[in-house]
Amino acid sequence: MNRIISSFLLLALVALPGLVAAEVEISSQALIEVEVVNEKGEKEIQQIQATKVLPGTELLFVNSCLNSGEKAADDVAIHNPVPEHMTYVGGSAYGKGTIITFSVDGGQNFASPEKLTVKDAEGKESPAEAKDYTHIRWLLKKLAPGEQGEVGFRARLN
Amino acid sequence: MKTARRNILYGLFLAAVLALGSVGTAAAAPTRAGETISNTATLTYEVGGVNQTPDDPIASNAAVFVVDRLVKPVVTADTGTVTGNNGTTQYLNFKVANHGNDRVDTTGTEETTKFVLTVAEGTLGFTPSVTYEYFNGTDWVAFTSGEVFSIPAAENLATDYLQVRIAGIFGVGANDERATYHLVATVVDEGGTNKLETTTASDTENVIAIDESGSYEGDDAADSVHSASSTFVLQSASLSISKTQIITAGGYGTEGTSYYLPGAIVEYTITLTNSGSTTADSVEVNDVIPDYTTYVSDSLEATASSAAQFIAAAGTDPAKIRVTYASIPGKTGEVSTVRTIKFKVEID
Repeated sequence: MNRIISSFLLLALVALPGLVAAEVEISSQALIEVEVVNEKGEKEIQQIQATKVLPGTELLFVNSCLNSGEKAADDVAIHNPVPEHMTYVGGSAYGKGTIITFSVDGGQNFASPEKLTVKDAEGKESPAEAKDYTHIRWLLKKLAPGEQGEVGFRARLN
Repeated sequence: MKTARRNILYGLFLAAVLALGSVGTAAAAPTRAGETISNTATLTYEVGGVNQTPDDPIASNAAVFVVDRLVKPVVTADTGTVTGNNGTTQYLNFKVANHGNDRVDTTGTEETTKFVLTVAEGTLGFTPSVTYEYFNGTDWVAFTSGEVFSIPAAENLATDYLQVRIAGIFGVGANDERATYHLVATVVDEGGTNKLETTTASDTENVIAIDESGSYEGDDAADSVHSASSTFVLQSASLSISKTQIITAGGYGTEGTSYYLPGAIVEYTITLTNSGSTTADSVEVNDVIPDYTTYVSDSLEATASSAAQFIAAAGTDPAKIRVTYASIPGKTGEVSTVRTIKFKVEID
C-alpha cells in the first residue's frame, strides 16, 4: 500500500508542472509608423503591420505575453534575437517592470549595456554599441494570472 | 533615348566592378529586395520555482515582412575643379552607382535598374570641346548624352560603381575662366524610356526610388534623379609689356628731368608681366633702337633671360635689341611674375 502511495506521489510530482502550470502565451508583431491624416484633417503617426519595408526603415517589434492560467508565473524571461538584416536602435528596448539586458555573442551571455564589450579584428576590446547587440532579454519577476505584459524594441532595416 | 547599348553595358559594368573590387573598404549594401525578415520571441517561466518550459521555450508567432525594392541613384564628382592649359585635354571624373537593393539575386534572376546618363552644361566661361566616356573595366568608351545604362545595385557601396568622365580639350581663353558640367542620372523603367515615378515610403506595391538632392538645377530629393557637377578651369599665360624712359646723363638741367638734348643718355626700361597662371614659353622681345639715337654699347641688361643681344642695322632692318626667355613662370598666388629689360641710347 505504501509503495502504491509513494508511486502516486511520485507521479503527481512529475506531473506537477503540468498540473499547476500558468498558461503563458506570447505573440509578436512587426510594426512601421506612417503618417496619416485623421478625420479632423490633422496629421498623426499610425502604427501599422509591416508587410513591405524599405531598407533604412525603423520598425517597432512588440512582444505581448498573457498569463491565462490560474497561477502566477515567476521569472518570466523573454528572449528576442535582433532579426537578421536589422540593427537595434540604441535605447529603444522597453518593458514595464522588466530588467532588460543584451547580448553581443549570439545570446550566450547577457548583461546591461555598460558591461558589454566587443573585440575588434586585432582583439582589442571596446565598449559595445547598439549595433553590436544580437539579442535582447527581458526578465519579469512575476506575471499574475490574467495579467498581460508588453515588451518591445526598435530596429532599423539594413 | 538610346537603348541598344544597355545590355552590353551591363556586362561592362560588372567588369568595371571586378576591376575595382579590391579598392576601398567594404560598405554594406542595403538588404536585398524580396528578402523575408522574420521575428520570433521566446519565453520561459517558472511556477513555484519549477521551470515550466524545461525542453523548449515557448515561441511566439513569426512576425514577418518583406524587404521592398529600392532604387537609389548616386552620382558623385571625384573632381571638384580641374585646371588645365590651352590645348590640353582634361577630365572631369564621376562615379555613378545604384545604392538600391535590386541586385541580381541568389537564383541568378537579373533585376537591373536602368539609368539615363545626361551631361548638362552649367555656366560656361569658356567652351572646351567635350566628349563623354565610361570605363568598361579595360578601356574608356565613348557614349552620348541621354544614353541608357543598366546599373545593378551595388554589393559594396565603396567599390561598385560605373566610372564616367567628361573629357575636355581646352581652347584659347582668358586665365581662370570656368566651364561647369553636370552629370545627371535619371532612373527609368525597364523599357528605358519613362522616368520611374517616385512613390512614398509607405507604398507597399511599387518600386521606391529614393535619392538625395543634387547639384543640377531642379534636382530635388526623392525625384528619381541624382546629379553632381564638376568644373574645368582654364589656365593660361597672360603677358603684358610696358616701357618707360629716363635721362641718366647729359641732360639739360637736373639729371633725370625731361630735357632731351643731343649727347644725352636715355635709359629705356621694358617690363614684362605674366599675370596668368601658366608659364609662358619661348618669349621673345624685340625693340627697335629709335631714330636719331645710338645704342650704348654693353648697356643691355635682361634678368633671367636666356639670351640678350644688340643687333646692328643691316640693310633695311633697323638696329634693335632682342631678348629671349625660355620661360616666364605664371603668377605665384596673386603675385605676378615680372621680367625687366634695360638698355641705353645716346641722342645723336
